[in-house]
Amino acid sequence: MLEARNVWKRYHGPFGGGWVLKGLNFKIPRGVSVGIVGKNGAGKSTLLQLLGGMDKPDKGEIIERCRISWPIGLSGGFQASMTGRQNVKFVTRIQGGNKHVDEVIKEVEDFAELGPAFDKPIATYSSGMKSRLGFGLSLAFDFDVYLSDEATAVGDVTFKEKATKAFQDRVGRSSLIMVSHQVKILRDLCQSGIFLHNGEAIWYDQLDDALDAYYESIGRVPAHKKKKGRGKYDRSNLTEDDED
Amino acid sequence: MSIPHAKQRSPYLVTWHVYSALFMREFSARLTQDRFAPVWLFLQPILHVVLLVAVRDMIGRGRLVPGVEFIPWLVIGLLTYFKFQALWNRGMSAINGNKALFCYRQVHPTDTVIVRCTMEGVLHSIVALIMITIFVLLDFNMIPHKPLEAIQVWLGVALLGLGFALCFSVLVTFFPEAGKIVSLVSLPLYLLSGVMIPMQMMPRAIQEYLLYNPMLHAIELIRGSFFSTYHMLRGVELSYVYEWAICTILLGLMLHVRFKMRMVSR
Repeated sequence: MLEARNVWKRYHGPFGGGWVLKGLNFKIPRGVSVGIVGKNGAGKSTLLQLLGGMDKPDKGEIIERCRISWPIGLSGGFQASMTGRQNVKFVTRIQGGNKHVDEVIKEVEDFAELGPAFDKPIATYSSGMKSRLGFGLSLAFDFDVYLSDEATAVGDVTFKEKATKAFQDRVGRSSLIMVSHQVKILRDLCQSGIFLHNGEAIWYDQLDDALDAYYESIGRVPAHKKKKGRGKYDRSNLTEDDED
Repeated sequence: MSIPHAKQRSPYLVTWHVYSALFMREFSARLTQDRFAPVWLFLQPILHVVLLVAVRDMIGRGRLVPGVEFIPWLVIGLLTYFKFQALWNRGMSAINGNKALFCYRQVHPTDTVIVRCTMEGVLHSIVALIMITIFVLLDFNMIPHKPLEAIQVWLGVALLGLGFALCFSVLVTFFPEAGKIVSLVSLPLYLLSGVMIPMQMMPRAIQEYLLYNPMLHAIELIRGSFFSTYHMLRGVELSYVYEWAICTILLGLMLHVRFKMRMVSR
């Protein structure tokens, strides 16, 4: 279970900054995957960092009664000058898996399918390769909750299928909290939604309702084809270019 | 599928895992950062010594140190000062260098500084041992007269370097300008620590002020422990070095506790 109690957050610095998050309150029950939607700059990544323990709210608290992964995202987590293999070894060791280093390396290698690039420095990786590695690495450990910050956005089709399958295998054991602008993958992986708007979080038991609220706030309607499947955000109802 | 997780690790075990992982990472990064790195580690002090000896010989004041040969005297001072400087400078930049790792909640900024300083300390001790062996084989009198005292001072210098690194690592994270001040200060500090100019030559009135510098104490003491005939500067004390070390380490740890979250979230 994961709970935010009156969480306020703002950034200090040379550019000043108002409140990004103004009093968030929500409870994420065990085993429920959540998609976080909202405009750019609404505080989605900030929220994910708070949940991942990389930052602390200015007011309020976040109560975590489960094992949470680090936020898997486009940046951070890997030292650019080291190879993929070295980074995997390092993370395995700090997670206490000294005795399982070889197994983890094998698993990550299989998932990420980087081929010879696995032994090249991270600095040479494309963003897609980085997110493959990041996803594979975090999946090698048993977390109760995985955090994903746009990590799926840059992946190709096979990667998305793999990620989807990996999480569907884990239903009941672990859940996912993901930030994404891609309706399809959100719909595939998440049941509930949090809509971040003007610094406040609104919890929706159904992801579709959160998406409705999101589209309403940006004044657009998702491009639907004729209704085919259940629910209007069903995969078969979305046009191909509805990716943003 | 995925590895079975170590149940609940105790905080000490987590720290141990983080330290050992960081250690391996730092070592391989340090020794493979460029093709020249392992060579440079040894070459830098040797070149420095050669250069200084040449300069001193040309000026013709090579015999001014009271009670001891010049070259061994210089080498011991240099090795000690280099170690302090390396710990300070490299430890200071550890936080910026490992920024990417703070997204794993097990890794604290303090860990990176401590691990990097320990590694530098170990590397420099190895370099020192090798250098001393070489100079002994070249028939210089460099076998320590009181080895245990030498080790005591050597450790004190390491702790002093760690203390400075802990304090300044916080400073440079928030004010990158502090790094420039450090490099500005390090040259005068080098000269005032009596590495190449014997401070015994200074008037007593000036010595009083120079003795505020803990590195002068450390360098004089380690020379005193190496050479039985050496006349140390009057007023040097080992406890002064350790007092500085303990104070800076405590201050540094306090800063780290206070600003931990701000360093991690940057």
